Amino acid sequence: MYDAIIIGSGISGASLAYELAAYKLRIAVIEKGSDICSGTSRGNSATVHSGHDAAYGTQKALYNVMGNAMFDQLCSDLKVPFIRNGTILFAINEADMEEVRRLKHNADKNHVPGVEVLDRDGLLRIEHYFGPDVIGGLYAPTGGIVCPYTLVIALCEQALRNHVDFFLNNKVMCIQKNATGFFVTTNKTVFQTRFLFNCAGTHADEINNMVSSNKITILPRKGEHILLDKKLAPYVRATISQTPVNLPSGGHTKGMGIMPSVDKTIILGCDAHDVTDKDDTATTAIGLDEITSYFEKNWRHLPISEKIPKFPHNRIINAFGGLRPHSTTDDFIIGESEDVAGFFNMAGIESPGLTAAPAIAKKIVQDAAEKYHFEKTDVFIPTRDHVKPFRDMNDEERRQAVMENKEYGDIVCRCEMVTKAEIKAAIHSPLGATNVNAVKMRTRAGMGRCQGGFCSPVVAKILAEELSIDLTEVTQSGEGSNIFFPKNGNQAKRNSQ
Amino acid sequence: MEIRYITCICCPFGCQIEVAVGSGGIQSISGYTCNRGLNFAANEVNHPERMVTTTVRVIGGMQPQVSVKTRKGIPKSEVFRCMEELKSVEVHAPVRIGDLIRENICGTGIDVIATKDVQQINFQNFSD
Amino acid sequence: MKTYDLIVIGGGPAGMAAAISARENGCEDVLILERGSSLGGILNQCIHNGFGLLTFHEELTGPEYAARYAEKICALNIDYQLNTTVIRIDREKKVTAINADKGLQILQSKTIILAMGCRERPRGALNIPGSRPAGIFSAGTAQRIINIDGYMPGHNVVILGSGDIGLIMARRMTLEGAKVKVVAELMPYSSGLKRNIVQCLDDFGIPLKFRTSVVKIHGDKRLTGVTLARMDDRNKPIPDTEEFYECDTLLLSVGLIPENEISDEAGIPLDPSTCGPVVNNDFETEAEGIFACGNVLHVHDLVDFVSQEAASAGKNAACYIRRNGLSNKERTVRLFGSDGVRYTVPQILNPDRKDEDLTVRFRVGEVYQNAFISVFFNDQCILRRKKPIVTPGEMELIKLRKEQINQFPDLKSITIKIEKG
Repeated sequence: MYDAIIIGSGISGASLAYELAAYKLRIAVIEKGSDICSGTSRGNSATVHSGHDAAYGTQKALYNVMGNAMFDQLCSDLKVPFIRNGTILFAINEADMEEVRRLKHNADKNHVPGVEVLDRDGLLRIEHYFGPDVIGGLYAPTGGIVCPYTLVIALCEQALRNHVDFFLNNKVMCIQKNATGFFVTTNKTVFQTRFLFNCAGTHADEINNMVSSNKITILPRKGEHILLDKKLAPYVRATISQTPVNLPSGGHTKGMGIMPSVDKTIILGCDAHDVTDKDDTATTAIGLDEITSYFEKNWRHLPISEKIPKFPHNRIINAFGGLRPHSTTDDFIIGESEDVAGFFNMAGIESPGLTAAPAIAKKIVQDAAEKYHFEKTDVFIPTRDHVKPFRDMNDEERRQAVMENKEYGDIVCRCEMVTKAEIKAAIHSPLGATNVNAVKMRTRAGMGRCQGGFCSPVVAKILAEELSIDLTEVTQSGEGSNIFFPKNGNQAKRNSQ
Repeated sequence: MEIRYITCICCPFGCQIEVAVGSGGIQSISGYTCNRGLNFAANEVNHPERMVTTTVRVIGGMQPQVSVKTRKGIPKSEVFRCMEELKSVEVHAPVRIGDLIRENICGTGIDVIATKDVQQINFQNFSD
Repeated sequence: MKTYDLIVIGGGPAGMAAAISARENGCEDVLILERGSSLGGILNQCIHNGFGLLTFHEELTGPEYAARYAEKICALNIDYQLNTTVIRIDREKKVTAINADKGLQILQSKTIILAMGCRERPRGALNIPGSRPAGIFSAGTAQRIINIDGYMPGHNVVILGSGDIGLIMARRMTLEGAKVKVVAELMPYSSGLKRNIVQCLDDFGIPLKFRTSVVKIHGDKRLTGVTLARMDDRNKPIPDTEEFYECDTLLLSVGLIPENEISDEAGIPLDPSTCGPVVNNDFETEAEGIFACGNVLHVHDLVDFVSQEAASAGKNAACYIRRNGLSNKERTVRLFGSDGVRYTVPQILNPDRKDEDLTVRFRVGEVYQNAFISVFFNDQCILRRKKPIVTPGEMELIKLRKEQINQFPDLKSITIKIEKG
């Protein structure tokens, strides 16, 4: 019997687990994927929004601004890279400037700190260069970037260290309520809990509708991004997009933008298209074409065009799709259900969901704690012990690292400088990686410019060794995604030697 | 008379060779630039051959398999039988380049030899 | 701190040939740094035959070709470190490397030869829409899985790109019992060698479709199929030409990129056409005493040419040390490719240092039939050679005699052009 069960381990579930872990509760997170963070939080634009554009008066606006303010402390506690690189919306005509002034007004009502309307000279004081057509824009200094899955993994690892249980590969099939709480039946087992938290991303409506008669609808809305080589990193600093007037995708997006990632690659995107499949993160020809043709056309406005005059097709290293869990109410659905006591929603957490999630989780947990008299534990550890990645070490630290553990001298991923020591650590970490993508998400092995051409077979071999399984059993992303097959039908014999 | 167009595979230049074949066999060959090409074209019409390169399993080696080749071309029609026969072959480390792996593969009279060294696993490596 | 005469980065065919040649020309302290677990680089997984006809006048497999050089490395007592990754080099010829046994080392050398080879273009670079299931491999990765690791990457295969590795893998997977359904090539020609189309595709009845590409990838966990479509001249899919192929494996053989991250970080200028360093006729980069050869300089079709080029780079590094590091670069002549010639290597000629004929290697951007390769000294055409066919898939070469060059004391530029017949 658990006190609290959280369904889903994206940014919402992870933030809730971390907040709840501060109380004397037995807590479990159940996740249908083969790894934590395998849905919406894995593929998004990695932006910590300032809150200038969330419509005043909405939950989105409220929690966006609150969440944004929490990131410095949270990321410092969890040792997660976070950079306030600032957000710029540039304008190329008077209609754009009109929108800029409207957004400034909105930002002020939302209490977003430091937002300014700037003319061209003002913009040029922030970035050295803009295309000649740029006449001014909006600057939001609190805009930032974070790696969403690094943050989710850190939150989950810290939750685990504070005694939260995690159950992967558990898909919720049905939920029943009785006097003492909930029975949650998954494809594997049945869980019992007093309180239930719905953080199921694009599937949050299904979960809610199993429990509550206040039905909700979550529509998956696809966003696609293109990733450029980190060689361009010196030319991209702030998150920059065009003022969202007359953009494709009918205004479902915050606009096509270019932004650095904390890992120094460059993210372009994103578009927005409503789709029907709630797990379909495939990229589409239309989507990728929309992004590339937008940037081909508008590249000349961007600061990067001073040094790289044309959209650099040859610097594309990858593209990815993600799904926004869009609620038909157009706002977050958060808090205790009106008709089912003990059932809490954290649903419809689409953009600016990544920014807002820590604040929403805090608020939900505070309210629940007050109403149901949760008692704080005095052994909660908020700060994460985290070893600096090899790629961020200086020569002296590297020398020291190899002296302490030889496997730091064995570079497995050449593009991202990931060592065998770090891959083994990821496999043996609290929520250990069990497949190639899980190693990738924890270490960046395979995320560089060669996209795992050299290292993915080596990573697979290390997984096989460390998990004591045959190489044919190693998967890319969980059951059914095996990478290697026996050759000559002789494999079993070899391995039995 | 029939003209057969053959791309020479003896070397990377890939000469285009024309072979005129009549009822009594080859009548003329043109387009080759070396003797190897001439011989290849004649063979390709009469009894085409291919060298087979593959791997066989190694027991107790630093690597799980060793690369091998037929010492020279075997009849093209025997290529898959050669692969099949080599599937069951196992050799013990150490293996040296040129070591005989299989004599007279598929009765072609041609041997299969190793094209790589594979050292024995040195068990002392594991006892530190 | 010990100062090496030469540090060679990479122990593949280029690195080995360069080190041997440097030693034979008088370099004493030579060190090869190799990140793999044996010398030979990519040759170790190229188990097919077809190597060495020019160098050894016999047809060898990749491992045999590598072994010839590795034996010589041992015979000449050339020092090497395996499983060693070079993290950084600088213009002062300091090399920072790391491995498990020696840890982090900072090594000083008088010269450096860059011989890091190249990497394969990944799927991401092609921007193919669709999901990201298991079963998509670059052809070289699949080659390693089969030939080194001893596993199969899958059984029903579509290959995108008709580069040599893709063609070789079509045969290799077929021999191992897989079904290769089709090879799709975006361009109207193959970038692979003709002999490989014959012996790897035609021999097994594997169709090769030109002007065709993968437009969608299907499958959630493991690949279940790909959609191919014909492409128009702007490389956009032609409507209603889509065809679904059921497969569990997609191999990509869509180009090689010289691996120049450490050269770039050291501020060594790169040629945007080759993606390799700009070099002079000594294969010296614009950073003095740092040379480059093999696939890190520009992608080659034949390992024999890599070895030749590397031997020359090695010799020149040895000369550089004999001259006590002094480079005589008084006069520089630029080499240009134009009218269909994508690039030349070298890009710079220092004629005063030239004591032998100049070999210029280059590639064209499209297929030309019965065209002329013309060489211009300044504006004057000094050579015009008819070729029945030139294709982007095959590197071309022109030799310019020393006397020819010396006849032009005010030579400023050499331009190589394709002129239609």
